[in-house]
Amino acid sequence: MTDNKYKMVGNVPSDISVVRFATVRAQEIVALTKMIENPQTTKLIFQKLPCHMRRRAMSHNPNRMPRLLREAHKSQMAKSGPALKPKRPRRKYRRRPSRLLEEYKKRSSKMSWLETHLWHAKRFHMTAKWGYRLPEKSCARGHRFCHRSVAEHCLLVDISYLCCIEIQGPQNAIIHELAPLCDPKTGPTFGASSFLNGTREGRVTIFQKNSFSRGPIGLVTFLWRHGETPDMRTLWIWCHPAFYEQFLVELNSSYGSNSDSLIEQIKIKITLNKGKLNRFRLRGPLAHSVISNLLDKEIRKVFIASQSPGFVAGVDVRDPRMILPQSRVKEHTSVPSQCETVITSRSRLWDASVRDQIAQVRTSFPDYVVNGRRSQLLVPGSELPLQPEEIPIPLLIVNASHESSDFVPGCDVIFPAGWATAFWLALIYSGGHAGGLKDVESMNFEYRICSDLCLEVDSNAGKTAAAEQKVKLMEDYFRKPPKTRTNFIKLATPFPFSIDWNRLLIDWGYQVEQGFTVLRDKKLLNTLSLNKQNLLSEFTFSYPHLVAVTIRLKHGSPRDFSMICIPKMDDKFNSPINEPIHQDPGAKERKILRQQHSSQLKSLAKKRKESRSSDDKVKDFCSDAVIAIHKEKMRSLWLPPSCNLKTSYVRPVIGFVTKGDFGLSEGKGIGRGYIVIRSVPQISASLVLVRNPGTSLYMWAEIALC
Amino acid sequence: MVRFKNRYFTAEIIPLDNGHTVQPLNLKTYDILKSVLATTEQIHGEFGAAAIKNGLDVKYCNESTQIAIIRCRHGPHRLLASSLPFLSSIGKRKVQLQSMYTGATLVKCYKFLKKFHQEKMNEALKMCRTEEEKKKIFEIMSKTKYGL
Repeated sequence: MTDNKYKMVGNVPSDISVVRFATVRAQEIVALTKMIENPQTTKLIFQKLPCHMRRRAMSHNPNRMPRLLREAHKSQMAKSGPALKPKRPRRKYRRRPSRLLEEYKKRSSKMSWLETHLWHAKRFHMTAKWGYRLPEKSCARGHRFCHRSVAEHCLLVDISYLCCIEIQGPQNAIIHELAPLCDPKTGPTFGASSFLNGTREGRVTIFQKNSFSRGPIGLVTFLWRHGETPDMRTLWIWCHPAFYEQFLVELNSSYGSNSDSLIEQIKIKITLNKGKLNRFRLRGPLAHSVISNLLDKEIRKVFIASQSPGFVAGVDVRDPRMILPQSRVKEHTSVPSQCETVITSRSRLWDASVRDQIAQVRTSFPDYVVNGRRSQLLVPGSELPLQPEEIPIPLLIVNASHESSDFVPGCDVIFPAGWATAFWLALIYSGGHAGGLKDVESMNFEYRICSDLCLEVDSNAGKTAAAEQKVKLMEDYFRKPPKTRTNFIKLATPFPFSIDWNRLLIDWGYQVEQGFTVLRDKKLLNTLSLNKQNLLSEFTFSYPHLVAVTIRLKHGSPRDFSMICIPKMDDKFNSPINEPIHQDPGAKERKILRQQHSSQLKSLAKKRKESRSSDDKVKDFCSDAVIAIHKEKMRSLWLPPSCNLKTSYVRPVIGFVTKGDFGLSEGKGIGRGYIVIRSVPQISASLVLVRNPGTSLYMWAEIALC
Repeated sequence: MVRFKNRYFTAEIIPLDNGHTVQPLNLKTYDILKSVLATTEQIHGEFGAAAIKNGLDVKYCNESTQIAIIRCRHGPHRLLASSLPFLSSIGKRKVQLQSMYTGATLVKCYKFLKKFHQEKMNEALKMCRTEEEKKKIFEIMSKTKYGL
C-alpha cells in the first residue's frame, strides 16, 4: 500500500525539495492560466457574434456590426488586402449622352477636346498632341482614299486647335511693333498693302525679335478686319499650338518693352481668342460647292466670283441644323453663273458681343427642340422654315491662297465657338470627306500646301517634334531582337532615326554655334534656281543655310532620312553605284559585352542566394543598376558612330530627305528635303544620287529647288 | 469543408531507472514522436503506424514537470491510446508513460493540467516537514493566485 502510495507520487524524486517542486508547479499554473484565458482562436470577430446579430452585409460594410466590435472588424478586414475598387459602371451607362459631359470634365485637365471630338473618336484613331486630342487617321478610309479626296472631291479637316490672337490698336503702331518679328525678304509681311484692306489672308514666317539668322518660330497666317479706319484696327493672327507659347513671349516682350505711358498712348490691346473661334479647312476641287450648300440661295449665286485665291468673304448663314440634309449627298448642286458682284469681306464675326450672343443661342435653342420640329414636317428631310429663335450666324470664308507651284482650290470656314458640331455635320452631309493629321501631312507632302499646320525643320517646335519621333523610332528599333535589326553601321546609314543638321553643316565647313536656318529669302532662292550662282557673293555662301529641295526618282521612291549625294564627274547617268558594306567594329565588342554581362548576372544571383541562406543582410546584390548600364552601352554600340559625311561614303552627302514616299499626285517617288547651300553650284544637270537608309544602292534622281 | 477532429493525450513520463538525479531527463519532442511511432508499429503493425502518422504531433512537453501532450487524429486515436502503455523507452532512457487525460481541445487539456498542478501543490503542502517550508509554499501559492 505504501508502495502504491509511493508509486502514485512517484514522479516526485526521492530527495525532494518541496520548495523547488512548488515553484515549478506555480510557474506552470500561471503559464497555463494565461494560455487558458487567451486561447489562440482562429475565429474572426464576426463569427463570435451570436447568430441573430450577424448580417450578410457586414462582410463589406463594417457599419453593420455593433459599435464596440466595429474597429476590430475594420482592422481584420484591412488585413486581407486593400478593398475592392468601386465597380465600374456598365458600358451602356458610361456612354449615355448625358454622362459624356462628366467624362469630358474628368479627362480635360491635361488634354483639351475639340468640339467635334465625339464624332471623330468614333471614326478615327486619336492621338494626344500639343495639349489636344486630335484625330490622326481614319479607321475605315485608307491613305489613297484620302489622297483622292484632296485630288478629286473635298477633304474636310477640323483645325480648331490653331490659336487665334487678336491685336487691336492704331494701324501704324501694330505694324511697327510687329516689324522686328518678320523678315521682309521672305515675302510680304503684316503691313503689305494687299492684306491691309482685309480682303485677303496673308501668311508670314515669324522669327525671334531681330534675329533672322537663327531659326524661325514658325509660319502664321493673319487677317485684318475689313472696313475700319486706320486709327483703330483689328488684326487676327492664327498660330500653331506647338509654338504658341513662344510666340506669346515674343509679342509680350515687344509690347512690354515700351514704357507703360507709351502703351497707354498707343492703346494696343492684345486678346487671346484661343477657344472662341472654330476653323475648318476644306481642300479639293469640290470644296466650294460643299460650302455653298450651307449658304442661302441668293448668296450662292454670287459665290462664284468670290473664289479667287486668298480672298476673304464674310457671309451670314442660317443655323445649319435647320437645313441638314437627311442623308449624305454625293452629287453637288453648283450654280454656274457669270456674275460680277463680289461678296463683301465685312463680317459681324469680329464683334465679341455678337459671338457671345450667338454662342448662347446654341444652348437656348437646343438640338432636341430642332429635331422635334423637323420630325413634324410634312415632307421628311426638307428644310425647316425660318424659326423665331434663330439668328443668322456670321461666317468668314477664307479661300486658299497660292502657297507653292501646285494650287489646290479650297477654303477655310471660321465661325464662333459652340457651333462646331452643327457645321461639321452639315459639311459632312454635303459631301465632305473627314481627314486627320496624317492627311494634313500627306497634303503637305504631295502639294506643299497647308504649311501653316506643319512645323518648320529649323524652328524649336520642329526640333522638339523631331526629337520625339527619334525616341519613338529608336524604341521600335531596339524592341526587335538583335538578329532581325538592320545593322545601320554595316549599311553605312549615319542618321537612321533623325537627322543631325549641325553635323552636316560642320562637315561642309560651317560654324553652327548660332544654329542653322533654311534659306527663305525669295530673291536669293530665285537666283539659285536660275543657275546663276556666280552672281551670288561668297558672303551668302558663308552662312549656314539649308535650301529646300524636291527630288524625283524615275524608279523607286526615297524614304524618310534618305541621303542626297552628288555623283562623281565620270559617273554615267543611270549606272548602278553601290555603297560597299562597312566594317562593324562593334560586333565583337557587343559579343564580349553580352557574355560578360550574363556571367556578371549569374554571379550576382549566386551571391544573393548565399546571403539569403546565411541570413547575412549586410549587402544587397541587386542587379538593376548593372542591367541599366549594360542596356545603355549596348544601345550605343548598335547606333552608327558620328563620321564625316563628305568623306566617309563613296559619294559625298549634301543633304537629307525629311519626307519621302511614293507621290500619288505625280505618280513617281518624291522626296522633300534640304541640302547645304554650298553644294548647289556643284550639282550639274540637276542630277543627284539618293540612297535610302539601310540600303546600299544609289538611285539617280532629279533635283529641283522649291 | 470537413472538420479535422483531434484528440490530445496528456501523459506523465515516469523515468524507470534511478539515475535521474545524475542525468537530467532530456525530453525532446522528436524523441517522443519517434518512440511513439515505433511502439505503435510494434503493436499494430505498419497499418497502425501509418494511420497515426498524419496529424501526430507533440504539442506540449515540459521537462521539469515531466508532462507531454500528444496530438492524434480522431479515429486512429484508439490505436495510439492502446499502444501508449507499451512505450518503454524515449531516446536512451527507460521510461513509463502514464496517461492522465484525453481531451478534444488543447484548452481543455490545459484546464485539466492546471487543476492537476494545484492538487499537487496541496499535496506538497501536506508533505512539508518544517514550518519554514510551509511558509514558503504559502507564499508561492498566494503569488499564483495574484498572478492570475
